[in-house]
Amino acid sequence: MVAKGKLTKEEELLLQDFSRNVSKKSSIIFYFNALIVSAIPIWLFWRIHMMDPLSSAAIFALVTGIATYLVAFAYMNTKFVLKHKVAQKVEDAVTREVMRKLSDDKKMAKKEKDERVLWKKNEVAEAEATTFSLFYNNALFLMLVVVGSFLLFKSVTPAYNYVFSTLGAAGIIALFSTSTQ
Amino acid sequence: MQVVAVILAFLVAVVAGETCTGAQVDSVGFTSQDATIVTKIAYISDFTLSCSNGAKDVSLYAETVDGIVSVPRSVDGVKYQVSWVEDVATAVSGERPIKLYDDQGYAALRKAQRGNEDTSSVQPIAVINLYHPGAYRGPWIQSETMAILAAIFIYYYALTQKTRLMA
Repeated sequence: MVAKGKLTKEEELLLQDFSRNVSKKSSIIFYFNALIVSAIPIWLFWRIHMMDPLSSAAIFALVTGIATYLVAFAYMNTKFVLKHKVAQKVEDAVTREVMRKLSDDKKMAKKEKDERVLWKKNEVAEAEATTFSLFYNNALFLMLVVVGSFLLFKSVTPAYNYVFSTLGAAGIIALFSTSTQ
Repeated sequence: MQVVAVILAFLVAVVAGETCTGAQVDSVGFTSQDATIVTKIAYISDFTLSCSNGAKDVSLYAETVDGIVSVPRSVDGVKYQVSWVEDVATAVSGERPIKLYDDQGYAALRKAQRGNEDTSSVQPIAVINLYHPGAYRGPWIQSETMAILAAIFIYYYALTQKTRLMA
């Protein structure tokens, strides 16, 4: 059925669903969110720690850029780990739902019904894992930024405080996201 | 000796001004009420003195936290002002009585202090009550503490949800 060394389109799709690579749409969502979240500390250091936004523009841009990459990396890893767990959890419910919808359709083959279930399960797990990954990493990142800037690096000058707390927080969430537990 | 002192005090009183009897004070008080950026609280009391015997230009002394101080008087001799500053920590809220003494009272007070006697037996000619409602020292909880607590709480919620998902 399959030509040697070549995968069919369905197989490629299936592989894509279970790979670490994310689709273009997810990738945009992740990077866009990461950019917003990484830029939030700028407000904190501008208005609360009294850093001048113009004279610190270079440092703000650089740190936000690096943090965006690290946060997006954390989003993707967390999503990947969560997706399988979510898929297992929603399996029964999704199967029931899809089967109920397709119960009238007598003509449909069992194989196709199973495929529909698999597809739907993948879709639900993808959406839930993406949303939860955003929420979890944002909560962790912002907590680390706040604790870092107000507690750990309180006595350091604002510029160093900003670099340490923002990059530290982004680095920690990127590191934690690589754990599979 | 005591007699001489009394006579001297009396003479000083006569020289300095008249003796005020049946003193009535009409005072307006001010105390600073924001202690967020200052370390001391200011107490000011402006008052006018009227005596039933019509005495004018009466020299007054007031008992404050700085001890007994001479009360500055306006040029026309009508208005007086007592003021002092206190550390925020010791400036308790509530009524602050300021005892006013004339020259005689002042002399008697100094004499009592020198002799380590009870100064409360010396009667002031009037007492002003300066009310200090207490100063604002900033919020009980700093806003950054609230921010940290809120952030930790949200992360705790996220973590419990994640643990449930991963279980």
